Amino acid sequence: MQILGLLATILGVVALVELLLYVILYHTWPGKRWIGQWRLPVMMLAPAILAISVLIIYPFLFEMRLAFANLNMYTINDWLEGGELGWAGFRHFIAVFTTSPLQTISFWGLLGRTVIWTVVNLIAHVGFGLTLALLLNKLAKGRGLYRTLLIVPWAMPQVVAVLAWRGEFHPQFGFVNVLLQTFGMPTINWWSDPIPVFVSCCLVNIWLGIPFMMIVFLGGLQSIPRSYYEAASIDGASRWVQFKQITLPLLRPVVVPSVTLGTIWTFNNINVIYLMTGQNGGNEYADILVSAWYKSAFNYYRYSFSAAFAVVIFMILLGVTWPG
Amino acid sequence: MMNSTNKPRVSGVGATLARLCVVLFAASMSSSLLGAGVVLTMWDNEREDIQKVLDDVLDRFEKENPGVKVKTSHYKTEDLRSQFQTAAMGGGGADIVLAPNDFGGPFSVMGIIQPVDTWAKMDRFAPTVVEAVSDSKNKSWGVPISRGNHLMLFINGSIVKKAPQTIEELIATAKKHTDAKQNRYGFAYNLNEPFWFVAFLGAYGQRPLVARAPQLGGDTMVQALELVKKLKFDDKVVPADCDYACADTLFTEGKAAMIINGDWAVQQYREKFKENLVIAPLPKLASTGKHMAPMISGKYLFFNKRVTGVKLEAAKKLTEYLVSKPIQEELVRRTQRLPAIKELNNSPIIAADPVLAATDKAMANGQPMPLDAEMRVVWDAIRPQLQNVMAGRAETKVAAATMQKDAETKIKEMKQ
Repeated sequence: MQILGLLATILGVVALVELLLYVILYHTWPGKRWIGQWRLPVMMLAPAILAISVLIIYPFLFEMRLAFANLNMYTINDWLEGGELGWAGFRHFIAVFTTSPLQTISFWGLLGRTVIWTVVNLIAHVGFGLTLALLLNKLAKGRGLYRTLLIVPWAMPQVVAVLAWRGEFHPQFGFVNVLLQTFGMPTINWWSDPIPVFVSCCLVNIWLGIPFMMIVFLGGLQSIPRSYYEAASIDGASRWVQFKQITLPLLRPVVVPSVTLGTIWTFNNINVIYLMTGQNGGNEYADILVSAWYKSAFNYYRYSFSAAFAVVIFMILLGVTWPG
Repeated sequence: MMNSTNKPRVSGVGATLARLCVVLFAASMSSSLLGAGVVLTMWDNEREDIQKVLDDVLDRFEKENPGVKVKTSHYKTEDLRSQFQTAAMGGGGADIVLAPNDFGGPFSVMGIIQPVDTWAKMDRFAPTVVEAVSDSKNKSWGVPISRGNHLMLFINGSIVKKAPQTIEELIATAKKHTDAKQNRYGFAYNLNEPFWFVAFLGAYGQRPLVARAPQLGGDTMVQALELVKKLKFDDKVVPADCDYACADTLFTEGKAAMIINGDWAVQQYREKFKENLVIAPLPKLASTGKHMAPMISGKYLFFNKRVTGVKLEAAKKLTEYLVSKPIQEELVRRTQRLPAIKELNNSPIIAADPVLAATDKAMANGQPMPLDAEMRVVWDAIRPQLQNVMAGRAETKVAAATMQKDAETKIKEMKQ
């Protein structure tokens, strides 16, 4: 019923806006020639513009304002009661770079770890994804079956998959250490030693991310006409030359957007870190920028600080993914 | 480009769209006017078995109070905290939140819940549960419906016949039943979690947060860290790296003779071990003569600040129903949790049940969990240093000093 009520309210607001637009566009200026061609498009686009304004533009502007405000657990009541946000200038932006958003690790430490996290994951996703896609593309029989099996990690709910992996990395009873013991190797404390914690998170995220890249690349490979390869073979081109001169250039339109998306998703991936390191508190050995941001907002209630932190993260991502 | 011949058709589409909007707007208005009576929304973080008990009780409440409906939603603990916090700040969120006391600290400071002492008659509840939900100005922020949430010593009676009275006895008993090669341990607990560690700290007479100031440095903290380190590295009576799930699994599978766990596990262990389950208070430390002191709180009803008027009256009615003697007795029987009201302190329901009586007895040495929002920082300051000590990466003195410094810094930063 709550959802129905919410839907009804949204529809009501949209309907009201459309009515207002209708009255303004068709009755207030009925004779204006210049507006005639825009009437219907404006009415059609209005719901989307309204939704984008409410869901993206307003929150973004509010976030910017919050970053310069003085909002935390102790001052939030002043804002709720009197609408007073305060003004802190650039204090929180300076704090982002000079203090720890968590207990000990600095912003620069988190940034370095996030870069390593993104690069390692992306290289593995693209590398393994492309290799598997090439293998699947060559398969004459059972391609559907293998594709289904290989996509399981991606199709599985991430929470279930990550928590299962957390169990497999249990220092004493997990499969990974049991395997190491079987081969006479020393066990690793995957849960509380700084580097192994981060490595285990990377391994899980690599496992989770390969199927997406594989499917995207496979789609790209299947769209390359066979005749190009046949012509290249007749001309005596080796498999490597075919790959370099035909496959890679023609895959580029698929690779570029998927790598861009992969960069943003990996950079912003909070789920794996949050679930692998323990949801309630946990340790900070694997935290990256976004998970540290989440903790600063929701564990430490530093709203203005976390808003400034979010703006900094946004600027970094904007810089990394800026076209050209 | 649109030409003039299109104009009448376009105008017609616009008018049709406008008519549709009139209908939609009217429909939305009528739907919002539907549904008279008071609807209370309640969010909780209860387990599935407890949810069923609550749903039964709430169904009966609705039948006895035809004008009031209670809609429940269930969340994981951390989700409940963040969801309510975010929703309430935006003027929404549940009317009532059923949660442990530590939710009340930040929520009260943020002003998203309301105090209850003006109407809730707090003197009818056990003093420890009232203290755990009262701030430094003695203002109470929630109504308790159960007390407990405390750690106890659970013993598999088929392995260990007599409950250890001191930590030294516990170690000696655990040694007898430990054979790491056979994956058998005398004792298991959540080694790296501060909630368990502060119980050990309590045996040295130290509380982690006093008057909103962290008390994590100093000799007593060092001694407590040395003790837990010794259990792992010298006595070797606990599994080397054990979290909650690991300790719980070892105990339920009969591979750990004893476990420190909370009252939330009573029902599960009772069903598993039946008459072989023994519950004892956490032992004392012979050298200090003090018992380990688990944190005590309970489950509380917190009320959203925007709940007023008729809704608040309905919420009060629901509260009175839940803390009434018959419902409290039913909750004790069906949830195995101790009652919040003093009237049931010596109730035969508790006295006649050895497990419940032992659970009650185990509370005696506890310390009320501070309500203050700073407690979150204290937990987070202890955790990494405790992990460092338990992994052999840090000296206990350094760890104690670091956790005190980290907690002080973070509390200062939280206020900026």
